[in-house]
Amino acid sequence: MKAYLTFVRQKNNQDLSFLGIQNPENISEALPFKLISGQPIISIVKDKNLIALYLIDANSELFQVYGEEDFLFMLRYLEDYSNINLPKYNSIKQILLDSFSCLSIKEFEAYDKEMKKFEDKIFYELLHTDLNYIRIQNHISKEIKKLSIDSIVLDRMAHSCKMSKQLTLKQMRKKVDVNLSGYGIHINAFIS
Amino acid sequence: MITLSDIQKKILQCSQNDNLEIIISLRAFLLDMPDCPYFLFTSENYSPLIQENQKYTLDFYRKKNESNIRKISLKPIDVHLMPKNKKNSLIELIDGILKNNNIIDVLVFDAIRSNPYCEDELFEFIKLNMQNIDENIYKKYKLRNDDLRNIVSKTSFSNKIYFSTYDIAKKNKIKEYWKNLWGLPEKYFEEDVISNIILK
Repeated sequence: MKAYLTFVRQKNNQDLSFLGIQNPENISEALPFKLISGQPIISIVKDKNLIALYLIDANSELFQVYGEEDFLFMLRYLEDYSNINLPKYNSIKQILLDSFSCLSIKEFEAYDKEMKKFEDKIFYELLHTDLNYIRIQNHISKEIKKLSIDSIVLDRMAHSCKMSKQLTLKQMRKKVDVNLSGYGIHINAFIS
Repeated sequence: MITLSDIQKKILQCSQNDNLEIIISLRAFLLDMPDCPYFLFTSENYSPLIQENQKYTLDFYRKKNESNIRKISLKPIDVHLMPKNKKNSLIELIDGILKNNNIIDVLVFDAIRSNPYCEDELFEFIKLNMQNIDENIYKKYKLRNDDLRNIVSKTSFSNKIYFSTYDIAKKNKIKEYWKNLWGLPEKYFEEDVISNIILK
């Protein structure tokens, strides 16, 4: 039995995978939880099967949504496979935050579905690749131009995307926060 | 690189030297609220301190908190990038010190002023101590609390566990909007419409 901290990659809630690890044979068990690409999760796998799934909230707290027992109590190490994709994850997140920052509150409401689909697509296409910051930024900029939204909003977003400044090395390596207090488990981050 | 035990030592040193302001500023950074105003009510006459503190901008508090943590050689970015479990253990240590110094009950953080998704601690304190607080102050903070409920209910994020980047960007936008509404000092000194009518 092993615990993994990884990112989700999914398309249309069907093509689901956990980045960096071999997919559990019963990964479809995670489909009802409507995970989105780029979302960090903790999965517990035993004999190639997913036996528990934990979601991580904005305050880094864990929410077990699948599994009959809290298996994190039984393990010593949490294998951190999110590390491999961290610089890309933090870069994509920052560029998207900057791109969305030009929207008004009304526009946020109006384009909710479209933008969430767009964000999911960006993480799906970029998180597992080897692209650097500039190429990620260019790709996002191109994808923004394909959006079928008001052209003024689109231009604004494309401009904000281009203006997004590259993160520092420290910022790029900012880890996914997971509050493991209460558990005796340690994070094993030395995985390449 | 500064380790957790280095920071713990610095916190304890500040506590021994009565530099509680540094600890309070560090707490604001650890909670990701570097521009959070705070009120240390040492006398029972609360109104003058509230009136004094609301004069300052959020930027003033950010600079003040930043300069305080720099006194113990900490940079804002280092605190920001610190893992959550380290932050939590430092917050626990700080709260213990504040409790031991008997100031936890008279120290009120007004996090609401920059973030509508926090608890309105100051209004709760005002409600509890109405007999020692000017009525106009109560009215002003009641009005702010009503606005707060309004904005939070209109922009609710249905009980989600995970927030997408889009959700975070939307939240940031609402925070900006709120800061323009109740983050500015002017708002706390404006006469309300009814007072204006009476004055005219």
